[in-house]
Parts: sequence; C-alpha cells; structure tokens
Amino acid sequence: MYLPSDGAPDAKRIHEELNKLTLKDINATVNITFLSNDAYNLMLSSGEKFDLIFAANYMNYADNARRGAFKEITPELLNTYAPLSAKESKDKLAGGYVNGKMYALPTLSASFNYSTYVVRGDLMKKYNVPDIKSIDDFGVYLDAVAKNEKNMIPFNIGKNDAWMLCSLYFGNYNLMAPGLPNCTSPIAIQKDDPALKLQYTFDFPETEQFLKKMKQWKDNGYWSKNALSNTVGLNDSFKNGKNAAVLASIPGANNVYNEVSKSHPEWDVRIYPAFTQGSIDRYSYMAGGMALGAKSEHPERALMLLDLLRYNEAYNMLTQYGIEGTHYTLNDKGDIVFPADSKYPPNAAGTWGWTNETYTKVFDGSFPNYAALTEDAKKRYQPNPLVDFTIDAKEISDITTNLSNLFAQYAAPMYMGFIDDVDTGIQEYKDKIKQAGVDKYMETAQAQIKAYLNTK
Amino acid sequence: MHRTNSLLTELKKNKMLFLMLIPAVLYFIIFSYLPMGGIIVAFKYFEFDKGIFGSPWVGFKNFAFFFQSGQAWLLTKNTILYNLAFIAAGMAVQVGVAILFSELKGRHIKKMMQSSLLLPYFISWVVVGSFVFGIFNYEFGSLNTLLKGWGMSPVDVYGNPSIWFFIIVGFYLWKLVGYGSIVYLAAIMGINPELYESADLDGANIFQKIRHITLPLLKTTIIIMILLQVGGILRGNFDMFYQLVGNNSLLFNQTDVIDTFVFRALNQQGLDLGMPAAVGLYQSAVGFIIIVSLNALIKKINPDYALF
Amino acid sequence: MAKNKIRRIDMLIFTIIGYIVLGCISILCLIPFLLTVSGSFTDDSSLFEYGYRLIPQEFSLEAYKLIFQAPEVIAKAYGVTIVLVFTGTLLGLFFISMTSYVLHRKDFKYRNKFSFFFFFTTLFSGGLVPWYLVMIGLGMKNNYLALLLPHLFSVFHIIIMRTFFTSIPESIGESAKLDGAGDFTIFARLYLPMSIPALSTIGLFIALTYWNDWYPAMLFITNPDMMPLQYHLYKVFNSMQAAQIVAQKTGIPVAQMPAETFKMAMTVIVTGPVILVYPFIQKYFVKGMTVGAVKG
Repeated sequence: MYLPSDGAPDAKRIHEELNKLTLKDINATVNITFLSNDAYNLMLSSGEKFDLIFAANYMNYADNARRGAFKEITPELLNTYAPLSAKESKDKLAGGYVNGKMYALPTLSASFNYSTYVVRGDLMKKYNVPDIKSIDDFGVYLDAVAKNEKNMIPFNIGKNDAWMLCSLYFGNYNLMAPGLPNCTSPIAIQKDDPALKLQYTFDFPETEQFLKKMKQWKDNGYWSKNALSNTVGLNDSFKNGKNAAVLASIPGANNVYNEVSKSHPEWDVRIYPAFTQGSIDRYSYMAGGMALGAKSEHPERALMLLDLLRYNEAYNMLTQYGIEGTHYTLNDKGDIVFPADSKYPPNAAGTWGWTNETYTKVFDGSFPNYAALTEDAKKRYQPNPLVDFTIDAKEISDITTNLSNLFAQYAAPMYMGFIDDVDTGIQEYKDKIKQAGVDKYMETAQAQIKAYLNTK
Repeated sequence: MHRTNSLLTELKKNKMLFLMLIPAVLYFIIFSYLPMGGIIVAFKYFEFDKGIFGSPWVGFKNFAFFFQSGQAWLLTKNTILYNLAFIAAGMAVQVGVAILFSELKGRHIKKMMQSSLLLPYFISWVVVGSFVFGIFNYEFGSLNTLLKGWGMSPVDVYGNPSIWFFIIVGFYLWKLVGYGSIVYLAAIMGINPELYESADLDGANIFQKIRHITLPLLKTTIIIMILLQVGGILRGNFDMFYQLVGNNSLLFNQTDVIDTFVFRALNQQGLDLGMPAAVGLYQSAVGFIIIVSLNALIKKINPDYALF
Repeated sequence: MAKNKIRRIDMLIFTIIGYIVLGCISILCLIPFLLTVSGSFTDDSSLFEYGYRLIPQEFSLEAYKLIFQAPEVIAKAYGVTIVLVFTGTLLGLFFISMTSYVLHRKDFKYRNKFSFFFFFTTLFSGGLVPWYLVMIGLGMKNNYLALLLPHLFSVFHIIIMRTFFTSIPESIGESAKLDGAGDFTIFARLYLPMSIPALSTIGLFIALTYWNDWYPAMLFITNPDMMPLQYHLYKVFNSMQAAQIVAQKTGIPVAQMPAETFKMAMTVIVTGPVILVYPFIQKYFVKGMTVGAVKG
C-alpha cells in the first residue's frame, strides 16, 4: 500500500499493530510505504505493481483514472469483498466513479466549502467596528486598520492567494466552478440555475463590481503593493501581529485560534462567517480516497482491508489516531486530546484516504462559535448535482492548459486588484481567453455536464 | 571496405585507448541512450496501463498548448536573452575573479575570500527568494526602510519591470561566482610559470602579462565553457525565476521564461508526460541546432577549440 | 632600476584594485550567509516580526532541535553521505579522467565522434520515467548503487578535464611511449600526477554533486538506515510543511514548527563541513603545480 506522506516517527509501530489485526481477520499482512508526490507520480507512470494507493481529486484522481492508472472496482468485486462499502449511500460513493466506472473508494467525511474571517477583537473595539456581517463590513475593518496601524498590513495576502479572493467572490454570489479545483476558472454556474448553464464569469456585472472593489482595497493599502511576490503566508504574519485578518475554512480558523489565543489572549481573536449570502456547498467525498493499482495482484484482499479500515472502529482509530493512551486520550466530553510532542500526530501518516466521520473526534479547545458555524454550514447546505463532476480534458488539453496559464497571468492579479483599469483589464482577459478557445472549452464542458446528469 | 579496414587498424593501433573508453560508453548507453527512447512520449497521449510505448500516437498535439499560447516567441526570446547574459556576464566575472586570485599575494586572506565566494552556491533559491522579498518589498523592506531613514522617498522595485533583468542576472552572478571561477583558476594554475618569468625579464608589467599570457592561454577553457552552456540555451533556471519573481505577472514580459510558463500552464492539469516532453524536445532541438552550427563554425576557425 | 620601480607601481595598483574588488564581492557573498546563520538561530516568529538580522533578535535553537531530534539517525545519514562522497569522488575522478585522456589524444582518430556521442546526451533526454524504469530494472531499489551511479560520469566534467589535458605538452606522452610505456601507464603514471589542480577542481565538483543530491534517494531508498543526509533533511522539512497544511485543513493543533528558520538551519548544516574542507583543497590551486611535477 502506498501513501503520499513523509510518515510519522511511530508509523512503524502502528503498522505492526495493524498487521496483527489483519493477520487475524483476513490472513494478510500490509506493507505500507510512504512516498513523496514526485515518487507518487513516478510510481503510477512507471507501471509498478502494487495493490493500494491513495488517490484524491486534488491529485488529479479522475484524470489519472481515465488514463488507466487504477484497476476498476467492478460491482462484483465490491459486493463480494467490500460488502460494507457496497451498501454505503450512493451519495458517498459517487465521487469514486469516473465515466460510470468505479476506480476508488472515497472517504466518509464531508467537508463544507465555508470560509470565515479571522480577525482581532481588540482592533475592532479600538476602532469601533461593531460586527462583521458582510464583505463590506470586512472592508470597514480593514480600512480602520490601514488608517490607524502603520506597522500592519491589514490583509497581508501573498503570491498564491488570488484564489482566496476569488472564492470569497464565488461564495458570496452563489457561483460555482464545476469540475475544477477551487475557482480558477473563467467559467461559472449560478448555483440556483436549474438548467446549470455555464456562463462566462467575466460577463457578470457583479464580477466587474467585485474586481473594482478589490482594486479599491488594494489601492487603500489593505495588502502589500508587492503582494504578488510576497512569500510570507497569511497565518504566519497574523500570528506575528503584522497582519490583521485571515480568510480560512472552519478548521483552518480553529488552528489559528488555538495558537493565537494562547500566545496573545489580549488580541481577542474572533471568527465570523465569510460566505454570508446564498447556499453552502460541500466538497466531493473524493477529496481523499483509496484506489487499486492497475496491476494489483490481490484486489480481493485489498478491498477486504479497505472495508475494515473504513468501517471497523478499531482499525480506523488505530490508523487515524494511533494507540489510545500513548498517542491520544479522550476526555469526559468525548473530545480527543493529543500530547504536545506526539510521535503519531493525527493526519500526518497519510491516512486521509479512509477517514470516517462516525469515528472522527472533535478535539479539545475549539473556538466559541465553532459549533454554531458548523451548524450554519449544515443548515445552509444545498446538494450540488455537479459536486462529483470532473471535466475530461483529453480532447481540449491545449485549451485547458492555456486557460490555466491565462488565469494565472491575467485574472489572478485582477482579483488581487493589480490592474490600472478594471474595464480594460476584463476586456483584455476576455479577448485572450477567446483566442485560447474558451468557447470550445465551454461547449465541451456543457456537453459533458449534460451527459453526466443523464447517467446519474 | 576501406572504412572497416581503417577502423580495424585504428582498433589494433589503439587497443588500450578503446578499452579505456569502454566504461564511459557503456554507462551512457545504459543510462542515457536506452531511456532516450522515451522521447517519443512527446507525440503520444500517455496512458498509465499501456506505458510509454503502448500509448496511442497523437502527432503534434502535445506541442499545441505551447505554440498556440501566443507567447512562444516571447518566451523563447526571453529565455535566450537571459541565458546569453548569464553566459557572457558569468564568464567575464568568473575569469576576472580567477585572475585576481591567481595574481594576488597574501595566502590567508585569499583563502578566506575564496571560501566566502563559494557560500552563495549553497543557499537554495527558496531562501534567496525570502531574502529578496525582505530587501525589496515596498512597505517594510530593508531597502525602503533605509531610504526612508535618509529622508528619501521609497521605491517600488516590484512595480518596476525594467530593472528585473539586472536583478536576476545579478543574483545569478552572485550565486555562481565562486563555483564558476574554480575552473578558470585551475586552468591558470596549469600555465607554465616560465612564461611569466621570461616576461618579467622582458620588463612586462602585470597588466601586460595578463593580456598577453594569461588571457590567450585561457582561451581554450573559456570557449569550451561557453560551448558547454550554449546547448542549454533554451532551458530556464526554473527555481531561480520562480523563487525570485513568484507569480508577479506584472513582471512577466521581462521575466517569464519557458520553464516558468510550462509550470504555470501544467500545474493545474492532470499528470501528463506528453506535454512537458514536447516542450523539452523543442528546447533540446533548438539547443542542438545552435550548438552544432556554432561548433562547426569554430572548427573551421581553429579545430583545437571545438567541442566535438 | 627604473624598470623595477615601474613594476612595483603596477603591482601596487593591481593589488589595491584587486583587494577592493574581491573584498566587495566577498562581503556580498558573506553577508547573506551570515544572515542565514543568524536566521537559523532565531525564533521563527521573531524572524517575521523583525526581518533578517546579523544578530538574532530572539535567540532560539528550535530549528536545530528539530533536526537533531533523532541524533542516531543523523549520525547514520552523515555516515552514508561521507562514504558516498568519498567513493563517488574517487571512482568518478578515475573514470572521468580516463575517458578525458582518451578524448584528448590527438592521434586518436575517433575522438570527436566519441565526444559527440557523449555530448549528445546532455542535449536530449528521454525523461525521468524511462530512466527510472532502467534503474529499477537493474535492481536499484534500496541499493546504495542507486545513489552512486547517477553522478559517476558527467559529460561536462569529462570535457572540462579534456581541456585541462590538452594543456599538457604532447611531447611528454610521446617520449614515454618511445620508452615503451603503454597508454594506460602514461595516463596513470604521467598525466594524473601532473593534473593535480585539475583533478582537485573536478573532484570538488563531483564531491559537491554527491553532497547536495537527495533526488535519487527520494526515488529509490525507502530503508531509513540507507538515507543520505540531504534526503533526511529534506524529509524533515517536508513532513513539517505537510503537518502545517494538514493543521490548516483539519484544525487539529500541531506544535508550531519553525519552517522558515529550519530552511536556514539546513543550509548551515549542509554548508558547514564543506567550508571547513574547502581550504585544504585550495592548497592544490598553486601556480606551477603542473609543470613542477613534470620537472620532478
């Protein structure tokens, strides 16, 4: 079994424990090897024989599956050797299907596309910002910091953060980019459009307004004049008091909160929801999963093991959290507590492929409105029929590559406000993507969406 | 008939020399020529289960994304110009430093300076990138802090594309000055000291000795070093450009090279061996044409200076 | 008398200019390194707060603690690297200079054809995957040879060495030949001792390549006992970054790790030994070494 990770100091011990279990239950031993991303790609490309490997949408699972990197998990195989997985709700398995065939078993944990503003309460009080309920309120906060705190950059975004602003826009205007990681696409669908019609993002008047706002924000000095080359991450500069705001998912916000509330309790870190309008999306379960190697010689054993890892509490807890008492303890609320210098820190050992929310523990010390925000996400969640859809770019790869370059070169700086004139910038970008063949891309994608919905 | 005969006589005459070549020949056959067949993936749609040789042919489709981007020419031009600057400026600085080291007296201080010069070679571009941003960023960079301290107005280095050519070349020179000068220093050490002694008797001064003895005798080494670099003239130093410039597209007209473009275009795509191989083949082919013609030209002038 | 005076003046000017120029370049090279050293001893967060300084604002050994958290692993990794550098450099020097010797011989008719045969491999490459397959086919998984073979030959070094050999007068080899010496003997007994500056140069280059490289280890070595130093450092750094990414994704608190200063500590650890060894190599960069050997 291959896992893309650098492992953990105690991983060997966990693997030995695991093998004791597997030997007893399915009369097999698992040989787990950690490998880097480069080696992962090489492993697939060189056609080595192996049974199980991690796969995920962010590691181009669907494209790899289309190119024959994995062995198909046929219904017979699934029913016979992984009966628990076979009985799982369709919704949770859908991400594993590519062109109607299953190549991987996705994780069993949902995560929502829900961002939050992490800000400093002390500054809000000092400059009379009562509450943050919208993008504009956030802007008011940043403005107060920009005007009064000369040693800070209000929102110190860096060279890879354009997507953050882009997702702020998509999240607040009920837009989605189907079949692409985050929203680095010139094409969007309005979530409430029953026809799911693809549209050019840069044709919407809202896009223009948003980009103008971003330009205004940049001109007001909410982020560095050199943000496009900035190498320092938002979190790092926030922790050091150089930056006044972070945009993060709920868990991400929790991570910042945990650290900063210890080192600087006087900052009174607060977390506000950032997607205040419209519905909430969740990510595909295929944000992680396990696939069979194309040349796997023991697919039955591999599937039996997967069923155990996914649904058997002992297997799942052992691999995810380690040995109870050594690597974690549970407190009286049922929350999980980790020792500070754990030799098997959670999520370090590449076990993302079989997380199961039934066994996932809330950890000790989350921010006060953690539960409220999670509840809000669940309440506003609207199932998205395209959540597991991915575009097959085989025939249009020259177009998609050029579009992704054009996005990085033209759209990303615009989202970060780096443009002299927004209107001409939009026009220039639209001309460029047109030349690159965006129409054909849209046609192909729309046809694939239609076909996808028909088979569903 | 005649050819085989001459090969046989040559073999007989220089049996030992052929034997001495065997390890290198075998090595390059196994580790370079055998895998070289993989080049054909540039013309294929790569599929994992079929492997490079079994994957279907797609003709020149993998080349399309690069040549239809509308930027192929700009990227090629930038890459070549940067490499020319690296080769020329690098050579001048490294030769200069080597000559200074060879002529100056004072052993200990020289050794210390020589060691310092090698230090940048070990500092990875990631670390250099953090330094560069720390120096040049508009709001808190050390450069602007200094300027403000002197009562001058701050400068926006990252907003000024035209100076980036010099910044990048400057850092390249800085990084390789010590490493690169070693070859030239060793070459100077190989020069017969009697030549200098007789020049001394003729009353030549140090500058004349450098001009009339050192430089002419370094010519072979200099030309060979240049030729060695020319083959890679279309290859970018990806790490350097990416870490120094980041995603700052405001600077792209001056700083974008083939390798950074390919990274941006393919970064979001699935794993494909075909498209990167296609661009690589283009880089190789252009490098090949340039080096073969240059070598032929040099051979005509003086065969001693040719690479092959 | 007059001549002597002029010479002294020109030497004086040359020395002054030379020291100023070299001094400036040395400082430009030294300062970033000192900043790196200081940065590696700085508290990670104060680095962001105060920027890079020559003297740490808040002294901290965190980065080094992280590297040396398993000293026995580091010791092993050092061992692997040192053996690798020595073996690789000696073998590499021998093979490279032997090849170069043949290619430099003007009476060797096919020398240009072979030079081209070697040089061609620097222009065209089949890419990583086929090379990987060849290596795997030769049984390189968890094999020390996987670390040794990739840098045993380098076309650049062969050609540079060839250039050095051409500066040795041909008459030396010819007269030895008349005395009945074979080609290999001439190479090993005459050419090698005469080429100490060149051998030190190429040897230094090969040693640095082995010293710095972690890539083959990443591809072929999974046994922790066989990992060279650089790969070990690379792994620690990587797992630290991964832990932070995971922390941001899941919100599980991890101990804050000194990512920025760690990179600098890595630089220091990797550079230190080389800088200690380098002066000993410089000893061989002395004028007249080559011809001196010929006379003797």
